[in-house]
Amino acid sequence: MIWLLPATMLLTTALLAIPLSRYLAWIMNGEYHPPRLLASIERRLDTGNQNWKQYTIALLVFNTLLFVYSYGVMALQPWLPLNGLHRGMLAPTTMAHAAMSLSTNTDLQHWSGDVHFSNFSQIFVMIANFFFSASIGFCALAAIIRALRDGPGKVGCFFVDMWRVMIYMFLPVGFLVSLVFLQQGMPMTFKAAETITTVEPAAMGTQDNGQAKAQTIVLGPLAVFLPMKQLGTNGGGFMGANSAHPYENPTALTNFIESVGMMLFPMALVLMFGRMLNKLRHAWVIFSVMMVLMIGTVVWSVYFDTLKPNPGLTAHPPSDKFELVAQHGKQVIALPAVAGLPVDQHTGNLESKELRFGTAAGATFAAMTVDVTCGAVNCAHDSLNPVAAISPMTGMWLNCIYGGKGVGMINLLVFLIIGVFVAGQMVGRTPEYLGKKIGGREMKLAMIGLLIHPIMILGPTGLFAATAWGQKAEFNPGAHGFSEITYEFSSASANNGSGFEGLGDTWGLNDNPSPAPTSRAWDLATVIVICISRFIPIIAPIALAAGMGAKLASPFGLGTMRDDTPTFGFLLFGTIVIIGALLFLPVAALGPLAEHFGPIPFGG
Amino acid sequence: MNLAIWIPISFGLGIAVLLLCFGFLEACEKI
Repeated sequence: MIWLLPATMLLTTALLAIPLSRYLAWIMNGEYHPPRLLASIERRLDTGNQNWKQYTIALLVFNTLLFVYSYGVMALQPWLPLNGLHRGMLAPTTMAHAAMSLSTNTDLQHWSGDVHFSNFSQIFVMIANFFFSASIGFCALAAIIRALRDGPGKVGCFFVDMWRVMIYMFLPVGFLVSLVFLQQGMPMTFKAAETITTVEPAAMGTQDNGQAKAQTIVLGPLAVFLPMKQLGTNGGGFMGANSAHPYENPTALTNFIESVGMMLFPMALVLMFGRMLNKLRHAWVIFSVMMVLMIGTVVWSVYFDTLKPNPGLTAHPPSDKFELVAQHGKQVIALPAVAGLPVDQHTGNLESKELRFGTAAGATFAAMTVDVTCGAVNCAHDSLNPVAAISPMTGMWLNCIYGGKGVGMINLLVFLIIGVFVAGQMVGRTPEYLGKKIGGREMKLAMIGLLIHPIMILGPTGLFAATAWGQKAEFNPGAHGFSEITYEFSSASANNGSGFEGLGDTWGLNDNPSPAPTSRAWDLATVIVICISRFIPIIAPIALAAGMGAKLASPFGLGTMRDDTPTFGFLLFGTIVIIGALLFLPVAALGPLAEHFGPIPFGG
Repeated sequence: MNLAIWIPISFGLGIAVLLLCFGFLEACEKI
């Protein structure tokens, strides 16, 4: 039964992705004829066919405006309406972090929506960015497909693409999903909060006069917030607890829909890639490779978390003592007393799991949400068993297991170019893809697109792990603390947004009397990482596709490597796994593996 | 945080990194 949930989710999504991909290709090929009003707006937006550079500039300018707009709305939050709980201004670095994070589809959160945002900000910053930022990655993929197919001068019009993606794709699908969420009990209101008296008297503590404190429950338009949070692979939570909160994920059915919803567009886009290039068999090979990787990460996560006990409770007998080198010299630490308790471990690691959805739902969601770079969470990733935590980290490190909408397929394209190049070198032929020769320029751009991701993860991780910026922020010492830092930058660089947590990186509202000591550094570092890791891996592949699109296609011959066979799939799979392992195995050894094999699970 | 100091720094950093991406786009043509 443990495997039934992930298997059903994957199968349902794959089956839905097939008709959806046909619809997406139909829309993006401009074959759909909208009603007169929508067609007239579309005509006004159509500035004509753009070349690859004009398209990319439009994309970057649009994103810059989105950053400015988001920062501005957050800065004006205290004076804007729908602020029933009188939220103040966020700290400037938090606003920069949030604006960059939301406008790039990352949704890494150094703030908590229910604590720091008014409903106005939730709607006009978060939901607005859910639509816009999700569409931008989609458009980038459309531009690459057209550059490969039609040449660098005919990549379409960015503004028309944005319109089509938002109005003909996200809006109708999101509307249908929101109706289901509404029926399942998700709140849909502009009311800021409900104040209630707890059933257990004084459950929230007492006031100075001894009277029991009331509980304030934050409310808002969650039923329209959630669909695009998931469908757009955004992942930013209305509540701090994200999809573990009963308002963001009320029932097992909503959990199922949220899981399917976040994987739907990334899967469909792979097949759309094949349909638009008229290479559907090739797309199915790519789809299969991604599916194998996704099944691998889900199985890994569920096996090591749901089917294995929490090593903090079982790894050693309670009598064991270990020497730990701490900040103030060596300490002898006895393992926690809980190790000797007769805790039933047959249901696996239940720490920080939302058991309303079943014991495997947390580990399943954890793997899926990072593979498609959504970032929504329904359990605390910090509490995953150490080895199980390798699964979400791997999803972010490879960043092409379906990946975010559009960008996942773009990242896969980079791996594909490198794989084809290596295979060509091995057999002594000039490497080519789609009949186009891969030359030095293409390889340089592919390597930039590939390497910027590990550079943006490993560089800042090393810097923060070695300095007070990281050491003062981590809640756990040793290998687990290192994992917390690694995960944060992996999430930022992969534009994922999920948090391992266990880091003091929140300043929050500007008048916060006790902010996390190094939160400024975390905010600003993630601004840089998120932005560079978002746009360099988009710009380089667009330039690469434009260069390839300008070349004449070679005729298919006996020596041409076929790209629609299982052999090609193995080549692609090997390229992804070998490059991924070379880049990230050392950091995995220092973090989760060291924690698992080390003497004290979870760093003591 | 002192708003007069940190708003220009944080906002400026965001814009600066975005401008860097424009610069990379220009550089791509020369690769």
